[in-house]
Amino acid sequence: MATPPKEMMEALKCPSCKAPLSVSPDDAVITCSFCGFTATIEGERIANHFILPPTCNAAEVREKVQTWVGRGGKAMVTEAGLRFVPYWVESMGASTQYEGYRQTHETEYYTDSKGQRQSKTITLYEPVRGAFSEDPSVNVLCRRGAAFYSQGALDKALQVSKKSVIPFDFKQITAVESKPLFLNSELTDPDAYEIAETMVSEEHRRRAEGTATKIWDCNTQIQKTGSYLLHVPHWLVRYRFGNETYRVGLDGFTKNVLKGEVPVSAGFRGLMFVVSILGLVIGTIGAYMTAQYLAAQELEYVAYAVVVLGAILAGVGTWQRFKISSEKHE
Amino acid sequence: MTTLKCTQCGGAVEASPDDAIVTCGYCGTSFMPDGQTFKNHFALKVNYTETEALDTLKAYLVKVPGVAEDLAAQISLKGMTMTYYPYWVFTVQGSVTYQGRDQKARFRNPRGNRYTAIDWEWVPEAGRQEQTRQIRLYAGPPARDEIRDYPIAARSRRYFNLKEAKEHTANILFSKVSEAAAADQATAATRAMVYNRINRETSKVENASEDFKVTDRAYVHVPIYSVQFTVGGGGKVYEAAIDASNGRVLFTKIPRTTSFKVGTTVTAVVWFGLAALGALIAIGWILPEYFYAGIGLVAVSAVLAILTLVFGFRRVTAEVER
Repeated sequence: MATPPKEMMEALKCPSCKAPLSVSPDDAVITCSFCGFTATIEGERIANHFILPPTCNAAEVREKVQTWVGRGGKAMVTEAGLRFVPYWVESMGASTQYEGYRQTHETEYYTDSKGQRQSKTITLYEPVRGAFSEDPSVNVLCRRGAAFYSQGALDKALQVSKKSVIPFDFKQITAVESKPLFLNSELTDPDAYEIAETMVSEEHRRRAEGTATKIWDCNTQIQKTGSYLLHVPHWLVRYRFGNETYRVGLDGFTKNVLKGEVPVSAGFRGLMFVVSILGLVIGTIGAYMTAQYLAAQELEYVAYAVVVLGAILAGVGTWQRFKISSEKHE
Repeated sequence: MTTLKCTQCGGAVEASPDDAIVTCGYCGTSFMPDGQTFKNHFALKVNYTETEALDTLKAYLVKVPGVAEDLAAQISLKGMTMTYYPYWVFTVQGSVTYQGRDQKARFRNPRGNRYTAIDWEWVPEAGRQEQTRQIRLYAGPPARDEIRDYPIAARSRRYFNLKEAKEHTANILFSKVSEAAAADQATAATRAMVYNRINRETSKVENASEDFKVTDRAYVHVPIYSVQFTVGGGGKVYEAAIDASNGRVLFTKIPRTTSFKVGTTVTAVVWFGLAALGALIAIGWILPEYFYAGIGLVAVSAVLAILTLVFGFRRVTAEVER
């Protein structure tokens, strides 16, 4: 991480439009919210800056969330905020060579000295040697440890939607939101590349380990091929239902609800109580009847399995009945 | 308690003997008891007023099963104070170049494309591991786990501003951990992570040259509201803590209605009763011919009883993410 003269930084002005910049000591790349100019804190302009264009405004988001929650339209959106979340997209060529063995067991039949047929289990080792290569492009969220609601789902959605990135265009943003809020990047390009490199080599190692019982040699070579800074529109919405507040994360590009909390209704809690009782019925009467029916075949363990099934149903029912809120994805 | 003299303004600062960094209540300067001024002092911004923080708490609590629907009207505030909790946030860069030995298999006794035996031989192995980690440490006096383990990270910290703390009449807690001790802990944690990786690659490290350096250090104060409240004129005082920078409910005791408590108790007693009945059947004291039903009854009812107690009487809850 770059360490600039921190006292100076807080009074920074945008080199392009001279508007004051709000900067925190952790920021490495800053975007001016008045003109969109983006540069490192050392003042070096970021040329490869892209964006997923925002496709909906606050009114549309409110309506969308209201419809999504359903419940007779009784949800009241109290807050809908658009933020542009920064990612570094790091492209690289990665190739891995690995070596190890896969262990298998086989049963062998033979006839012993007394002419009896016998069986024994033998262990077999198969050498595993392989190589694979790919050109991954990894999205690295540029906020250290600052997870926000529905971030995981946004990361995932980005894998698909990043095909639609366009060069950063401030006008297209202000058409939707006149005062856009850009989260500054806390990572420089090299910081992000280091993270991406680790992620890829870990992933390759896992993939190699998946092919064998033991891998004793796994070598990954990675070459950086390119990178760009990407701002992704994300809406965080809060709504009231009765006296309660719930939140929803919405993808500002695809307009999809990424993840959202929905109220747990009294009906749902009631249903879950019924599930618990059902578990009790299955675990007792079901187990008894199973045992009666299967006694002849001496398959008692089936009866025990029915008991376990009943206990699981009862457990899940009770857990769900007391939970605070539900989560729903689109 | 000892009295220290501020390195900047000369004001008196009351400190306990084990404080490693203290902050002057007159000018906001942070310094060590040996008289050295400390510069990298940050604080998270107070974004939630008392009223807003209380609203977040109420909106969260009312979702918890067993809490009165009209909780907002029933709460009476007994006290609300702000405390600045101290944390260290270190970025440590570590690199280790190592030589050692690794086990490699040699196959014996072929059978088709497989082998029935393996010999292990030691082969030399060398490599390099590099990692950069951000390590966070709680530095204050003993506190609840929710505060100790709070993942504050470095989100938009700013330089410590005494004026802001004073506006909220915040109590500023001092660090018990010196910068050097915190750096040691952070380095040790990073070192463990690097060696964890190396040990996956190499069975035996024989020679290693290490380089660990702290690339960024910050002493960060996090403003947290602690709230005491009673509900519906009852005498029981409930506590909660809310992050004043993002409104997250760090933890709260749950004020449940009497009718919910009675209902849950009755249900739990019924489940325990059924479990006891099931046990009697299972050991053959009564209705021995229903052995499997007895086993089922004791197992399922025990699950119901225990989970009802765990979830229905959980006393503390916390918001997971915000």
